[in-house]
Amino acid sequence: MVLDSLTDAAGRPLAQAALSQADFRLTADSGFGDGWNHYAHSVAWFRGRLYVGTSRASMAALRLSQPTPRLYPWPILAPDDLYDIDRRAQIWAYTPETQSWRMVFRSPQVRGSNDRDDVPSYIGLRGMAVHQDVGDPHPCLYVTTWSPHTAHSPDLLRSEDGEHFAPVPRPPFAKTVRAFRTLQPFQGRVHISPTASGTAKGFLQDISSEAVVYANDDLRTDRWTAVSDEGFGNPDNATVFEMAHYAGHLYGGTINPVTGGELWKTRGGDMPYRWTPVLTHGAGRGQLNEAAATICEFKGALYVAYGIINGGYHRGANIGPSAAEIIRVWPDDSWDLLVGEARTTDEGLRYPLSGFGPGFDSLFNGYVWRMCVHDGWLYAGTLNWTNTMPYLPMNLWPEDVIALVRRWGDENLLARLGGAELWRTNDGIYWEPVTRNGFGNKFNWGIRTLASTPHGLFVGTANPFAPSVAVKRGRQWQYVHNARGGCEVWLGSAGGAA
Amino acid sequence: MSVQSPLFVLAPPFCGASFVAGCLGRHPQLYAVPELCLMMADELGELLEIFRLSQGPQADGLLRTIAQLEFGAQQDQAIAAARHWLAQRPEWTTRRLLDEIAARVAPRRLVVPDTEAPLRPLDLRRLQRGFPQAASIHLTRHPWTQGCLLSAWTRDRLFVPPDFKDHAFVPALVDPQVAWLRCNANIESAFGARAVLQQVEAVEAGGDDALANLCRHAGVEATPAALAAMRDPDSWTYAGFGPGAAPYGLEADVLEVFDAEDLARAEQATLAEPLPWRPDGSGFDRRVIDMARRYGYG
Repeated sequence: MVLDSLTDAAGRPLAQAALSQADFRLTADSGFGDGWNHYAHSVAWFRGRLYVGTSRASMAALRLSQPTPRLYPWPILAPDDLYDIDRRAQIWAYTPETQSWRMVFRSPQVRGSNDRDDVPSYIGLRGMAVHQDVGDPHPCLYVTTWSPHTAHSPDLLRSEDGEHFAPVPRPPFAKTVRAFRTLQPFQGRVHISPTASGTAKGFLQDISSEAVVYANDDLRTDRWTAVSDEGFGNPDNATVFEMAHYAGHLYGGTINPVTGGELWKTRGGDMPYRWTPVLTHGAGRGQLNEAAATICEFKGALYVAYGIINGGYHRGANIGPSAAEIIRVWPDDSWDLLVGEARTTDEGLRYPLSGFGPGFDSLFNGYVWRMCVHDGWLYAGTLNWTNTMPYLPMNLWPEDVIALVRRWGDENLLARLGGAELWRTNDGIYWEPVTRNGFGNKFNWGIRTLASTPHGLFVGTANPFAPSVAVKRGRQWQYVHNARGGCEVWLGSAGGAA
Repeated sequence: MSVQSPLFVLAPPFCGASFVAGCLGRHPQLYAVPELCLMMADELGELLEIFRLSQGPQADGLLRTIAQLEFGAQQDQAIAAARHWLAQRPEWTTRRLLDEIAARVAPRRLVVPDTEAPLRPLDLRRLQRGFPQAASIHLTRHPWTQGCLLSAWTRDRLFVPPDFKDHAFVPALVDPQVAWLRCNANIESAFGARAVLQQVEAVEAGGDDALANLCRHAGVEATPAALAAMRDPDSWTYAGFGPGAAPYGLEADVLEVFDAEDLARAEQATLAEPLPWRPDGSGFDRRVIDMARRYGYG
């Protein structure tokens, strides 16, 4: 087969360059020793070190989201007042030569609108990018942030040396905007889009109060300019969730809970930009492809992975539960369905070229959260909610789904498939699993970050089942310390020798 | 004694794979089995787990085969023994199991029909890697005929695999052209010209040319006696339903009885008319039409 005849740069057959679960080793566990570090939420390779930005106490905050998830008991022990938890987001740096981690940043605290003087400026750090802006002496590390509604608007942090972080002039977000995540350099400008919104009445971690792309050609200034219409002109586009640079265009993917996520592109140029639609109506799947969750260029095509927010079941909009699709877009806007459901579309009949249905044939893979190219392979990591099953009202589920779960056996299902999945492909057609159980830790419910580095592929997890998790002993629920709770960072290299 | 590599008969569902296996199975130099579904996994233990979890009868063909070859009969007791025999070998690769079956039927050449692997490129790659020297027949049927029969079969079934559906509809609509296009395209991508194209309609007509073609593809003699035997697939060892413990293993297009109206509609093959199973009045997808024409259908 042609696949077997290809070799990588080192002359190894590609099949050997692919990483398997045995090639990975754990470099950080238990949230860097603090279980409240729930998400390894952002990652970047910068000046010979790996940087990881965390989000704190995500599962504790989720209890306050609207509508509140129907989980009983709540999976972790959390105080009634969220501000009793130290939620100052952190940045950790890993030095491969010494195989050591060190915290290089912790969010400052400010006096909040609730009159407390210990409100963290940032409770999460959802995006990182290495970029040399017009005023930068060399490439710098930029970090997008998530601020609580009692604090100021979120900032874009900048660091020249990976040790000192300071905000650049603040983006002009409305007061209700609480986070942004994607940061995309394109044609000499940095592009961002707000992602989360929040008020005293609650918060939405993925949907913003505005769906606009902003650009700035000099981050020393506050010259942020809106370069898109609200929702690209479609009021149902609730948020521009992801962006990517591909084939001379800037692409933006949306969350659209009404008609399905959309993908738009622009050639840039004079501001505001002219945008054209590439995919609408969730590529013909409608609401079940609510959000363009992650976008990644690979071997000349743009891979777009979808999902339904809130882990595959958008409670507020009553979408799902359903699993994620992966689509491949070409420069002429034609597209292939790689993983997902066969359907007739305006462009003709589509069927999954890989043979896999949504979520790689697993309902539990609510979204593909991150994709990354490493050594000629595309890796795709999922959010998998299998491990929430003990807390879900399964008596309300359809009987056939319950029958399937029973056939698996609850414990068997959790042991074998509890935890996020990581898949790899070298052509978009043949996908094989790297792990289907969160690297053996069912509490790793998401592969949130991936970074290709000279030392291997780093994988950061979302693991919010800490510090204490609810477990059933006999007929009683108890909260016990969870030694496998809190985000983890794994490093994969051929032979596991990194 | 060297054992010939198996001959695979690959086809979309309802395109005659079981019927052709029955014909080939009657040739004195060949031994055809039901659908084994071995390409769904690398190891037998994993395959048995898939069988256990599935809601379909995928295990039946393998059980019938092992029951026949190892225990000399296809009845419930032999099926139970076959199930035990398989369960004792979880570490076997599925390739080893197929090699074992091929050796057991030698000097006759093993013929394996498969309508499951063409749904998934990974399964076809497993077949290619396991049996790089194997010959393959790519069996086709007019998409109208296939569609009419498959949609008639699914009409009163509670469970239809999602692979057979158009999910643009809510609830999803059974549309046989989805699997027809998907399987044919996957076989073409995986094998190209190395899989010999054969219209099943020609085989069903029973003409000497079509049967002789099959013999040539299988590397066996097309003697008058052999051709006469091939015209009688109902006498194949695995013809019809199996015992109660494993009744299937063959495709429904040879097991089920279709009513006259469905059969009459299926025979009015066309690429130009609205599809009777679709409520929106649409016809075949453009890619289906193009592919069908390449296969010689109008």
